Amino acid sequence: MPPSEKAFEEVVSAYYEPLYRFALGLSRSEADAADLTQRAFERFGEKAGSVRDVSKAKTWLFTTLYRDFLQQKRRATRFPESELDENIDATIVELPRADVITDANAAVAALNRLEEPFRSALVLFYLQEHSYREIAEILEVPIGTVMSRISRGKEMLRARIESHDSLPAGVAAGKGAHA
Amino acid sequence: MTHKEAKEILAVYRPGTDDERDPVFAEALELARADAHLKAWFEESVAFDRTMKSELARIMAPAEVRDAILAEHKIIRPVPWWHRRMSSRQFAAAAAVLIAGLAFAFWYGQRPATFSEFRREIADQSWGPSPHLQLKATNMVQLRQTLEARGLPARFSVPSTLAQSEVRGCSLLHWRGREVPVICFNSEGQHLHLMVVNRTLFPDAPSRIPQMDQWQAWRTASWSKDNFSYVLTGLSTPNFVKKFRKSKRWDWEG
Repeated sequence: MPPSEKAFEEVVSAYYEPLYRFALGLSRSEADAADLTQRAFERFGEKAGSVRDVSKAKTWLFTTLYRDFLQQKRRATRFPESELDENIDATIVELPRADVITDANAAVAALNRLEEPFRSALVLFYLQEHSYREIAEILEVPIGTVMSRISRGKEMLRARIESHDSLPAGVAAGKGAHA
Repeated sequence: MTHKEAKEILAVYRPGTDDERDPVFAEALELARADAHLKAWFEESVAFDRTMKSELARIMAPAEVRDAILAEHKIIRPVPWWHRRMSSRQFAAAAAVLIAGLAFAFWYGQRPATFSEFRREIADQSWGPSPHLQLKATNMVQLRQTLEARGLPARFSVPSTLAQSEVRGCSLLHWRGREVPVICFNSEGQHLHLMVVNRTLFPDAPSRIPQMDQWQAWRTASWSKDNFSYVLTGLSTPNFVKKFRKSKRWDWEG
């Protein structure tokens, strides 16, 4: 049974921002992040009956979005976009978004340089929305693997930071200390 | 516990969270308190994480996507009868409902249609067997003149990405007693139909942000701008969907 309008709005209000940030960290594209987020909420709106406890909506949404991302990624690998598709994309006017802060983009850029599966684990770690048990549930791996990916991911992140200058002041200031 | 092991554990420690009570971290934290070198490393690690966390939190998710999500949920979807629960009392009342059926059917036919109904019916109809190009035109100016001459909406805006496509012509569909112009485009080899309708007909018409839907094999993107609402349909290809998903900020030809 779909959730009531009020319940749905409450869930969107609570998890829209972190879910979008997670999607952006995974997809590295604003358009794809918007798509992933929208689809996760659409599915929640349709199938929330299967989410027995509304308090579980958070993990359900993140898990659904992550599975969707993996599915899209697999599909993209199996059916690479044609030349025609690239031509179509070239006709779309992508205007710069004034509300996306440059510094924040730099932090995401540093995360973006990480490979999967370290990136997804690290984004969930920095979002601080989930316990390790929940992160393990979302990524469908054991807790030990989550911790290992975060630890290894951070090492790699520092290495990327040391080799790039386009970073937020706070991060750049801290990089020497981590050398 | 060695320094290396302590660092691996402390690297995933998040101050101010449940991690503080998690026994997994207790020994490593104790070691960091006692060892000056490890303590310095740990403080820097926490500072680094704090900065990364706050930078990530500064990313603002686009408000228009949130609006689209909420607006989409407000569309009333009829619940199939086999999903409805009926008590014995309701079952007894079914006879009365049956008698009232004709009256209901009449009312149903008379009530204002929703945009969702329009979108599905018109998308389906536009690919039907009716004459495809009743009014031939090779450009938008010519097409607008033809529509205006027939008293049909002509001063609508077409996204520039579409206006740059080849115009093939137009046909007129009859939908619930109204004539709806269907403009036929050829965009990069893709056959597209654009339906234009007066926005005031549908209180639930979508906003300026293209709203995606699928009806049978046809994908649609629909939006409203100024006095008109639009439905664009095309073949069910990922390219089509991707193009209009990405067009949240497309510009207009005027």
